[in-house]
Amino acid sequence: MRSINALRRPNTHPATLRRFTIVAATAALTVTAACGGTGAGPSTAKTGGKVGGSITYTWWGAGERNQKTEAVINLYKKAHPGVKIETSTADFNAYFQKLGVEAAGKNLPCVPQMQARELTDFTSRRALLPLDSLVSSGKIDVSGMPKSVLNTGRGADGKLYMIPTGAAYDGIMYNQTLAKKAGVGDLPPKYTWDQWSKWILTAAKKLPKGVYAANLDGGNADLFISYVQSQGQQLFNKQGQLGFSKQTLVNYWNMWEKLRKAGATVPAATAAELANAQENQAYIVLGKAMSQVTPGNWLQSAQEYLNDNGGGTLKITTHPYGTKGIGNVLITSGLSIAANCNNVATAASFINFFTNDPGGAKAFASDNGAVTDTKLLQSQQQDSSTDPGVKSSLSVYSDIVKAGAPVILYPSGYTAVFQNDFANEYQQISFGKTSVPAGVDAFFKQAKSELQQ
Amino acid sequence: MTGVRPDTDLVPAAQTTTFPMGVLTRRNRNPVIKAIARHAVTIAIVIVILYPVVWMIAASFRPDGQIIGRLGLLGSFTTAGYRHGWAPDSSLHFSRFFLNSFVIAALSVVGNIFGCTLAAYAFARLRFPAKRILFGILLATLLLPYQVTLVPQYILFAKLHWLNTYIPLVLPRFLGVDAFFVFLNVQFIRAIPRELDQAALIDGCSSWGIFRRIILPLSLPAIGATAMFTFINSWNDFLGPLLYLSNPSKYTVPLGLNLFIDSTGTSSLGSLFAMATLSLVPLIGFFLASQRLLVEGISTTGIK
Repeated sequence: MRSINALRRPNTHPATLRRFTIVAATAALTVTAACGGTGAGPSTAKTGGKVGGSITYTWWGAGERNQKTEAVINLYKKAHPGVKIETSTADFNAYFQKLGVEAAGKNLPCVPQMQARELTDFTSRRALLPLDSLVSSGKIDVSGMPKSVLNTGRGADGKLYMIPTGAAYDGIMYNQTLAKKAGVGDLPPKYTWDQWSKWILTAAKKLPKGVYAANLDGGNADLFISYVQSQGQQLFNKQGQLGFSKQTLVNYWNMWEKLRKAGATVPAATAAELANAQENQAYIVLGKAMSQVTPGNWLQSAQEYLNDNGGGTLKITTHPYGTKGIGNVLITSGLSIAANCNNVATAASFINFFTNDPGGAKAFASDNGAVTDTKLLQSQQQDSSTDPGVKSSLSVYSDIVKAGAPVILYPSGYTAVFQNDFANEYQQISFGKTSVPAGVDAFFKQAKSELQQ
Repeated sequence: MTGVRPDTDLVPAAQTTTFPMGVLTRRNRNPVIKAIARHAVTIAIVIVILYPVVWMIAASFRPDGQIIGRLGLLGSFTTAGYRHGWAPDSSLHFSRFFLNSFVIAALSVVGNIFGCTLAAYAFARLRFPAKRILFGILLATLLLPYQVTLVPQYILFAKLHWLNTYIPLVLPRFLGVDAFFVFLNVQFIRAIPRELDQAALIDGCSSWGIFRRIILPLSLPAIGATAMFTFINSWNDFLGPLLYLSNPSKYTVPLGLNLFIDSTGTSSLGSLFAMATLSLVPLIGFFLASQRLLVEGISTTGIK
């Protein structure tokens, strides 16, 4: 088995199952909302009590991540003898499918792993406990975490519902060897969108036949989010609807169409085939594309795959900068406490351990995003046993945090709109089935009906 | 007039000497060509259908790095997928998942045969108030997507404290809630001559006796089909066990297979395909056994 990478984050090109997850979870939560009526919200009075007894902790992942998580749990149990932790795990899609139904049945595990993008689905139905009082009473220590990272765990009401434990990001991965051959060299620090598209167009002219300067990522929502934020616009307004102008998206898709029509990107049909492909089928790791938008944590395994396919050196960098600076957003995952949890003291103690314990952080090794505590991050960066690919990913993460990554509150329906509709509309455009303005209109129309706070 | 007849007769006579010969030669050649063509198409379809399964079996013997992106069957040979896959974790073992799946599937088969045949017998033979309406309602449940009942069912089982047990997966089967199988059995029982029931009635059989001595033995093909499809459905069910089982020691095979997949990390594809290959064995075995039952049912009863 290939070694697992750090900073993993969910597939940004979801399959049908993903769509079902959203439907099932939304349906589940809607039914609860309908049946629950005016039921009381989560009790904040349950925060007292002693650490002991048992809690249930669930997360998403497989193989190596499960082993790392079990290692953290064992360390916690060693430090807190007598505490019993029941665990359960599943693949990301199946995990949220199950969690949606459990939330509907008011039967969430005491400590469910959460992701910022999924948070609103649960907070808007009061399925999670606000953690502010646990933080202010010192039971959960978040003092070592950058504010911008901590704030990704807040709900629409401003309360803290998730303690981020791992922060992932998307970046531009490129083949340094091919870039050198094409005469364009490395992307400079803080490069702009214009510089980036010129870099692609210039390289395309000199690359060998069958090698494209870029993957066709016009349907990749994460890159577009960076585009919007770096122009100083907001992805969502306070009402949870789209916060950017139609013209922004027209400009963005026109930029991609220019690259595609110049033959600088992989063709639309190939891009459609690759949309749900496994990491080791990506054109960048097959040596068929010079650059691609990828999760930051792909670097280590992508390099291993590329070595099997002719070699070259891969590098990861941030998304391009705009007129208002960096647009890269952090995609955080973390731990929450269920509103129905009856052992909040132990749940809080476990979250505190997961977030701050040096032994635990070392055992988990930033497996699901860069460790959020600054000191722990630095110690992993300085640790000689940390993989160079992981170190490189962690260093780009630090750059993004330093540059002031914007925080986005994701409304319900985010996934359906940005992971499905956005990609579908661009696919229509790239196949020549519709024009850019018409595609943008259609996207805005769908988003309006699907987004809700 | 008669002189004309031989002329007119001659034409068909000539036709009978030449045309049939042509037909004969065509008949001789055509069936062969047709048979070859038919077999070629059938074989091509079989290859298309079976190739993914053969590919999966071949992939289960290849290292992780040589699985994805290859259409061919060849590569380095390893049994690591089977060795690592059988025990994905120090505390987890696939033998446990197989046992769990088998227990659930066997109980589901028993439950469905019990519940569905009894319900079907009632709808097909007995007289009771609102029979037609109730049957209509039963059939209407076929139209309900399972997502609609998913949450209410979950809440119900949660309130009964049946979560993390096999009861939600097995008990409903004993209540004859699977409308498709009830309908299948109703249609089959309706085709059994009523005279057999009447003869049994004259011999002193009660309704239960008729069901046990007449209907049940004659419904073997339908029961075989019910058993076969129930086993396959139960064996392959992912969502039910996912929702109701939390403790890994209670996991079924599909949940065990899910432990190898991580869309946010690296999947252990070799182990996944190795265990997926093994998970097919009971299915194929049960299918072969049920198929014999089906054929026997048809041959012994003479009822189609």
